[in-house]
Amino acid sequence: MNFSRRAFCLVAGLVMALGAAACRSGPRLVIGAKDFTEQIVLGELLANAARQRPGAPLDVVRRFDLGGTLLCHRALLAGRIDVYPEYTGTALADIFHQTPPADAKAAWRAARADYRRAGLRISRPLGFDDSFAILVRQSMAKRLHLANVSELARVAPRLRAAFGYEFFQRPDGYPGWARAYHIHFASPPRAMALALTYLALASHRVDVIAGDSTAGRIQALRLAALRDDRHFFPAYQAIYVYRPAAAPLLAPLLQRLQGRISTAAMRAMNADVDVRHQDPKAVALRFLAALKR
Amino acid sequence: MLGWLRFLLFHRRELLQLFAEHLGLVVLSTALAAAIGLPLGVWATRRRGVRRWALGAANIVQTIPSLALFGFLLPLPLIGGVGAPSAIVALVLYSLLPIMRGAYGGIVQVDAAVREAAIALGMTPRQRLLQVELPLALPAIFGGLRVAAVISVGTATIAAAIGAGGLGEFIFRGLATADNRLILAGAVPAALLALGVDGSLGALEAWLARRYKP
Amino acid sequence: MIEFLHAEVARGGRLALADFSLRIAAGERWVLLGRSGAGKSTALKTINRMAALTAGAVRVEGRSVADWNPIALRRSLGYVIQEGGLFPHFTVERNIGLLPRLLGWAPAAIRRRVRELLTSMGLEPERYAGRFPHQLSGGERQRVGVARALAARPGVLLLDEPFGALDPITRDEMQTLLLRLQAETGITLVLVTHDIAEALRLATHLALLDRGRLVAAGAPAAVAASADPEAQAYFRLARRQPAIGIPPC
Repeated sequence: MNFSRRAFCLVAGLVMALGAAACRSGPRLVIGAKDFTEQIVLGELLANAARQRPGAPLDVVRRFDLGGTLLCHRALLAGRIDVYPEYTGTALADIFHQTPPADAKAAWRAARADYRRAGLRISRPLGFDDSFAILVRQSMAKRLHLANVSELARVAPRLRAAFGYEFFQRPDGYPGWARAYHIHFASPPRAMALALTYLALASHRVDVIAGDSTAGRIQALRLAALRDDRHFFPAYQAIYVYRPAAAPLLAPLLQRLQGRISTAAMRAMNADVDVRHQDPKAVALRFLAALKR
Repeated sequence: MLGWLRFLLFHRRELLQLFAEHLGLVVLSTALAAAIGLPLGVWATRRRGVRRWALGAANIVQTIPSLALFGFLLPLPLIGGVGAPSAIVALVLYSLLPIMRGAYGGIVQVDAAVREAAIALGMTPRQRLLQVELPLALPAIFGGLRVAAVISVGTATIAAAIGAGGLGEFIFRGLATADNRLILAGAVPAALLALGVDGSLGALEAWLARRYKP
Repeated sequence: MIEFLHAEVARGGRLALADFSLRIAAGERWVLLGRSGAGKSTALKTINRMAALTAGAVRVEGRSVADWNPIALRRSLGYVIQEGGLFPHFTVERNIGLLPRLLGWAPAAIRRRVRELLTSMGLEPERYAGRFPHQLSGGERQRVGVARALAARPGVLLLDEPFGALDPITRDEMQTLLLRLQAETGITLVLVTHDIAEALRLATHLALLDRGRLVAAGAPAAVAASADPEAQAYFRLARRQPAIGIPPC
């Protein structure tokens, strides 16, 4: 009884709020993001930049729970969102079914051309690259003098590796990588959940894993990313993809963010959320405040 | 459907190996859990402290998500690490509750008059347990074992998250590449395995029940 | 012979049995009579150590039960409980033959003994030996329960409200059977009941309990003459009963 009345009030309130939102005049921006930390932080950066727009703040709707690349892409094509963060390599491979070139500039140009044909636009690179990163413990890197992946080949026969399932399955994943660098581990690398590979590495159960280059845990767990000195991994530069209709609203915001987010900065923001459990919005606001206008 | 069957045929070697790994994980972990859980369940009927702590602990373990449990197990020496040992420890922990519950409940629900008669006839505690309480608790014990084994078949797919193999590998690989054929190649054999395990335990129970009723 | 010497059982801060003394000689038929909770079942259970004494002593064959190995003590005494307490997963034959088997009798001897007991209980061995308890009527179950208690030829048979759950006719048959068995074997009977009619039918001696205490004991006539109000209440009831027995035509 009580419950149904409360439910009724809730629904009524919701309807009124939606009505109010729809009736409100003025420009509105619907921002999407995939459902993991880095995407949510990138979404918050854009959303708060919009609120801080000189002159009138923009109305912002956050759709930060979109489960996957294709879902975001379809939502953008259908006009349900105006903009979302993406990576050049991911767009080329997963949306446009092309082999992403290793050169970052070429990849960005190819992605821009493909998106243009699909009736969409992309920003300039935001400044960081979320690619696979070959990770080892800092202590081991120091002891074995490892800085580049090519230096791993000589010690690999004494090391154990574990990789997430995706790394085994992707064309730019394990088989090609091991061939490119002539790497043979002590035993065949184990396939396991990506999240657990970080723990396995940190607790000395394995010695080499493939993580995300921007993962916050790299610093928190005292891991080191080895440089991809043969440029095996394609570029996964972060960009925003948007509908041309939203371009006038977005232009000043993109101007503020493009080329300004370094790998170190992104890693630190991811760590603030994942390791230090801070609110993504607070993390984004702090970054924006540090950016010169 | 036909395409999927052809896909299975193409991967039959791997499918067979993963199936065997999966079965091994389930059989080994259920056997270990029974070896620990049945005596604990019986002991719990004798001592209130054991009942409270053992059943309480098993209850709490049940609420830990498997990935988190693997996270705890990874750094541990001997029982933890990467691969089958961690997976088996996790599966054993998850199986303990239904097995202990089955044994405890089965013995507790033995008719008080029957229990009294067994004491009055001069049966030793051991004779009472082996000849009266356990045979009468057999259906409940097997109920617990079957629940544990069927749940294990499902949980063992998570073992692939910690590199222990099994049919979960197909599922994880399928999820990583959004390939439904791979996901089904793991999920359907796992479902069939669950049915098979349940049926085998049912047959074992029937055989034991017949042996106990000469 | 069974002897209670100031036996006491404290349970939950209350005396279930207090200062209970009684001598039961071989071959006597004793009925422990009393209301529910009077302590009669507790008194019976101190004999085979199913209830632990907190003070005093109970002697069986001149030896304190505390000095007996409880397993050996129980195996030397027959025991029948109200619902029979038959093992539902054993056949009639296995139920009756349980104690002989535990005592290591030869299988052939067990078989012979089971058949002999079934016959004397009025149950055809061929028909009943292979049945399970759920395939028997209440009276048949209780006959098997008595047979099981007698299997190893105990000198004493303890019965805890053995016929309480039976219908009146079956109960009467069981009482007749019990009297005949006792006459044939000379076994000592100690039976617990709250039914004065049953007590008077079976007993050579009565022991009346009230709230954990023995208030009267001895031959029925002696108990009837007791000044104790509980004894008088029971016998008033007994005298009234024949009057309601026959309805007018």
